[in-house]
Amino acid sequence: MTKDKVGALVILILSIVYGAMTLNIPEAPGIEDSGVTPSSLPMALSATGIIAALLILILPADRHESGEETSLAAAFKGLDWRCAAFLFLLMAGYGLILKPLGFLISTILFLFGGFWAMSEHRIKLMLLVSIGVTVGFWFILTQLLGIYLEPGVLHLLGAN
Amino acid sequence: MVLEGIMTGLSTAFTFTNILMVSLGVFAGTFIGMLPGLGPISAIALMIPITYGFEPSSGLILMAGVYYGAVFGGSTSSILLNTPGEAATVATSFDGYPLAQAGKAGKALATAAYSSFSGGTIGAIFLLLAAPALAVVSLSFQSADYFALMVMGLTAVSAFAGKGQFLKAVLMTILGVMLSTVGTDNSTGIQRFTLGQLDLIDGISFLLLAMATFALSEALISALKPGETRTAVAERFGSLKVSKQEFKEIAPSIGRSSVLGFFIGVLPGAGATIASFLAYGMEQALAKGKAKLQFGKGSLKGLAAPETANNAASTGSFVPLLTLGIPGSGTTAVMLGALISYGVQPGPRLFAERPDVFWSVIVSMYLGNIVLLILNLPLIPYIARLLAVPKPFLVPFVLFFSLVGVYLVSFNNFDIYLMVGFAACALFFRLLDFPMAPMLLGFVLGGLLEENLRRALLINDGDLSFLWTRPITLVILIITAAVLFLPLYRSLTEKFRERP
Repeated sequence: MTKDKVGALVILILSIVYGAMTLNIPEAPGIEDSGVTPSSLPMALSATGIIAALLILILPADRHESGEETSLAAAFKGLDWRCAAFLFLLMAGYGLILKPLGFLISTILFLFGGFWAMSEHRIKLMLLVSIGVTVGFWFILTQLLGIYLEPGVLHLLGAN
Repeated sequence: MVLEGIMTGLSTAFTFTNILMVSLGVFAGTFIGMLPGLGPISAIALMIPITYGFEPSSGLILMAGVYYGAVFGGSTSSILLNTPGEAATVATSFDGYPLAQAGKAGKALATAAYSSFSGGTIGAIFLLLAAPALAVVSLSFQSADYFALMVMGLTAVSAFAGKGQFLKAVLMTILGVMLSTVGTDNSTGIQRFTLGQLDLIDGISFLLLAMATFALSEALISALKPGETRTAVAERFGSLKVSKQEFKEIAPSIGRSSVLGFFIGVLPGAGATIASFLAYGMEQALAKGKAKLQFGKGSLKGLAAPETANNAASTGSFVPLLTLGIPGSGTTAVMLGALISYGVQPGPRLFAERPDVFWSVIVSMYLGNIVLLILNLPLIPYIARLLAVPKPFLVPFVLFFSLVGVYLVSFNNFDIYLMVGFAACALFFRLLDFPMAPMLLGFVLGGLLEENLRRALLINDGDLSFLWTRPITLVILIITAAVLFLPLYRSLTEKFRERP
């Protein structure tokens, strides 16, 4: 299956799910006769999405002039998925720890983890850069721009 | 009237604070634009939270500076490393990179700076002349015409998406409009697609979507590609000097590309990318003999044309944004988001109600151009050192600044999770070569489309006849139909011809 068709298939499924969810939108009282209800546009979008996705699925696949492969396998081959997965986890984790640990500690951990995920293993340099950037950014935001950032656990040590 | 406006703009733009703003903007934009994943869209998006407390005119002046700086920054990485940070600078690398490889990086960067300046200057002159005229015309626009315009904006962006990309761009546009329907319906107060999440009641933030789909996904794509290191190839800069003879050679190309670029930029959805490719193609077609053979191998004309056109188009895209409230490109879509966040609604009323904002944007566009040339030219060799920041450090920085940029607006952790989710989807679609810009434009225009259709139907007692009885609406819809069906027809006939 080519890249275009895989993408179209995903959007087809999304359009169908979106269309099904549209059926659950309650009608607003008194505007049924005005022509456009809260579900009118979503209905039209779902139908257009389904038609456009089906067109890509039915029509012959594009072939690149350069002869470059357009298959899904070719698009996903040779990529460093482990690194990307780690970065995704790191970002989600950053969201989790930002409030309880506070901006300073969680950002230092995030940057340090990010450098590690990107195969950088010079610990001293990683610590220096992550602490330097975090403290510098924190200083600009809190001391120069007056933006409040969560102190997190540092609050226990008397920080604001 | 125009002169009075220019004076208003000059008096607003030429204050110490605003000159400082544009200078800082240009400087910051150049640095940000050179980073992978952070093109003009992301650069401006990053500025939105920073400029929240600013006066609208100061905020916009800063953004104009960031915009030009980021466009130039993108060209710098295109020329030095053959890594165009965004689509509009792809054509720049065709001849810019071979020039840098030949040890003429300095000349190439200087040519790019002069060309950008010329394109921006001519574009700004056209903007001065055309924007007020268009603003007057647009005053006669009603909801029905706006609805038609929104439809045109949506279809045009898809139609200009490139060969073989039309249906994919349509799908992405639809996806963008779908996302715009999440949240509370403004007219009725009914919740749609919130999945019971309180955090989704206000809908999805534009900044969040822009950062997740552009900056985050670009950085993640960079992380996915192993072994791709950012080596500073352009240590040999050569001279920054462009000779008189070379200026004479590229001057006609700059003139032609400026006009072409501006008018393409004015069309909603066309934008700087199409302008740069068309200008490159036009110059290649017009070149003769040896000059023609130089294209792709380090032709100054081949570098000057797309650089001029993309800047002129960037300026041109402010015409529909300022006068009609329609973003002509992804970048102006972000600008629209920024304007709305300042409480300024672009459109015909902006010209009448906030002339200080309207004119100061136009004047600051030009000021941005001048500052860009003065500031950046001497700094080129130093600026380029940023490109040597190793990828293991650059990628986490981009991720961090994107996440924090959005978090600082809402202070809501949910936004971080939502960004991660959107970044994963964007990464998937980008690997499949589905364009992201139509999705973003669909998201911005979707809400306006629905609102104007509702209003038009209310005015017309629920009767759709305004679509063919109002002349302006009808003309716009006819143009839309042509824009929509011509590429579709071409795409379908090509596909059937290819069928064995």
